[in-house]
Amino acid sequence: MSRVSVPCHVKGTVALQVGDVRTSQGRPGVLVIDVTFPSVAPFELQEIMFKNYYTAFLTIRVRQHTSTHTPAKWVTCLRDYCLMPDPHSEEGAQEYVSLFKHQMLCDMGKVLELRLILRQPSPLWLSFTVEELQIYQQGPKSPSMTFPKWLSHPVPCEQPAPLLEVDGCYDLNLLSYT
Amino acid sequence: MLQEESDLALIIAQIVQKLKGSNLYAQLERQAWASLQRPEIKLESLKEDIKEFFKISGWEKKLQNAVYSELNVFPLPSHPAAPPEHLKEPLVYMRKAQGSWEKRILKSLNSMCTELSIPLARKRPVGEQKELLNKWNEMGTDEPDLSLFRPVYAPKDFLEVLINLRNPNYENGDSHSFRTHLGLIQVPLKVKDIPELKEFFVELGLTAGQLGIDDSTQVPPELFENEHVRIGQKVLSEQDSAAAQQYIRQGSPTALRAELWALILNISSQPEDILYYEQLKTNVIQHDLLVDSLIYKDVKLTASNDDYYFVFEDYLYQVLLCFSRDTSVLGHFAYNSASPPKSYIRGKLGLEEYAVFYPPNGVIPFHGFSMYVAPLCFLYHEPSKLYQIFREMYVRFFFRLHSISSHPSGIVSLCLLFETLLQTYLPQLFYHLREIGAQPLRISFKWMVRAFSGYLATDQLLLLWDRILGYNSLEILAVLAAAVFAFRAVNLMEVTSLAAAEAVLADLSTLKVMPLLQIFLFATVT
Repeated sequence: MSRVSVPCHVKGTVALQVGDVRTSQGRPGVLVIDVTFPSVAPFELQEIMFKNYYTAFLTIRVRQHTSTHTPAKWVTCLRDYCLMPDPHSEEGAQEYVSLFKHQMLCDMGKVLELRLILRQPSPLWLSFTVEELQIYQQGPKSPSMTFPKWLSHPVPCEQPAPLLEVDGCYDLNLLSYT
Repeated sequence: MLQEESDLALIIAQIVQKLKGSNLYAQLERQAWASLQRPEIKLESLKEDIKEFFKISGWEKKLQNAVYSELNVFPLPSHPAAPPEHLKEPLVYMRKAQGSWEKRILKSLNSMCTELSIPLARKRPVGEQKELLNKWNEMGTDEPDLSLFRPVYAPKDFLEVLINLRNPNYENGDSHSFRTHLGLIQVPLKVKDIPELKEFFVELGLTAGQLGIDDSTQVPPELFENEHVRIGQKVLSEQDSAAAQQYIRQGSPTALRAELWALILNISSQPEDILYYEQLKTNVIQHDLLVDSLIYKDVKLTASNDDYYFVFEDYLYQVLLCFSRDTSVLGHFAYNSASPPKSYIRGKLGLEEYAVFYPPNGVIPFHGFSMYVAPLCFLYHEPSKLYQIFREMYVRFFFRLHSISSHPSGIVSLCLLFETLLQTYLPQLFYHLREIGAQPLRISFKWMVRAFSGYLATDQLLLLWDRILGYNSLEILAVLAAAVFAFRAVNLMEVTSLAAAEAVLADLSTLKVMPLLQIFLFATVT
């Protein structure tokens, strides 16, 4: 099943903190990111992908379109998903993460809005967020899967003979710094 | 598709992709074609019959060993969106630090080049080629003038870089708080604590037999040693890599070690391998590289001066000079945070068709590099086999000891593991050494960077490297380093300077590694 990226608008992060953000000493341990989908009809969410940056736990709430005239309510679809097994250490801190429809607690058939609640309880980090957020809905059913880059650019297999010369020459410049 | 299923499919696809280019694939194809002649292969059940034939003839085992080898060496495929540099090293600041360090090394090499007016590479005149070919087995007798050459860097230079490693997103306050680490390493990598190490190294526990402990003269061999040797012989006859790796966690009998290591590293000397080594030798004869002088200097300074290893001096040149020319080593940079230095053919600066890696294998040797090869000379005497074993050990383990990465077996994690173990279980000793200006890592760093080669007695070193292969991890180096400090704690508590602490720990040649490890992990009261 292929997937199609849904254009989204990611609002700025809002820190949840008791007291005045400017004067208090501690850092907020909870951030909220709202994701809206202007100009897109309520869609079925397939996958959420992002690059983590020092977020320890992720909760996602979703607001879906309802057929009745009752106002759409916020429902938690992912609760305290662990991104960093030890919030004080680097493990998982900068990993790429994908969350799929089947991991959600509720049906994601008619998504209107998403709210990502990021938690980082450790005071060791100066900041935390999630980056490169992308939302996908189900694309037209096609046999091709999303393959990672290396499958189309395979690692070259064992070379038959070591290459030392280019055009019979190995007279080199100094080493270059890229 | 469920996430786990698609992950597995991806791993299988990656391994198949890698093996497709290998000799084994060609051999399996040939065998399959040849097997069609056999009476038991029927057309109606072709696939099952050939599979059965592979199983009986041992080819399936060879394939299993190759797959197992790939799983051990290559990291699992990461997220599809992750770029290649993420596979090399996921943390951005570590990648940057490695990049800066590499730049420094290149600058150093370039300035050596211009100061001494020696080219990076030059084709040898025919006369010189003949001379080198004649002298190939006794290059140690050569005494070239190496006084102007200096090693590109020494382990202590590298340690300074690691000490200054900082995560920009981490609270690195100047004032000491719970945030600053008491040791030299200031990055918060995840390292195992003793309960986790006990679980990881469970086969080293008090209730399991060990070579290095239970084969000593006072212990009757019927208790453990005889049976262990018998099992080792069985593992070798079955030619099963995974079983060998499990077996060697309790140590390898001396007589079986060479074969066991070759089985675990999946090295079998085929005619193609010997031919490949001869090709590398030809490259050495034809071209002279600046790094050759660095290798000569390193061997002369380190291995030649060592009581155990000086006899192998000629072997070391034969391995290391060929190693520098081996472009197949470039493959390991996919999962190494380091990158190979690049140069261009003179006059073609910037043109990618004229770009080459320098040295061809992308690895610039540093002071002490030859000590990675020296212990292997005790096990392997045929140059091409010795070469293959060293190359595989390098691309599986040794490269991690001199590149900056967050990998659990990387040198940064090993340093942090050592310091954390010492602080947690010998807090008085750690505090005392800090107070007298003798940070423990300053002493133990050189042991870990060299995987203890040149510091332990050879038989003890080989027992240690048995466990590196068995657990596919270098973490045992950090545990041993902490165990050594624990062993000499009483003497260390009495010293009052770094020099005196160094003196207490200068000679490790009498140490027995397995009892030290066992006591530290399983018998220390915490």
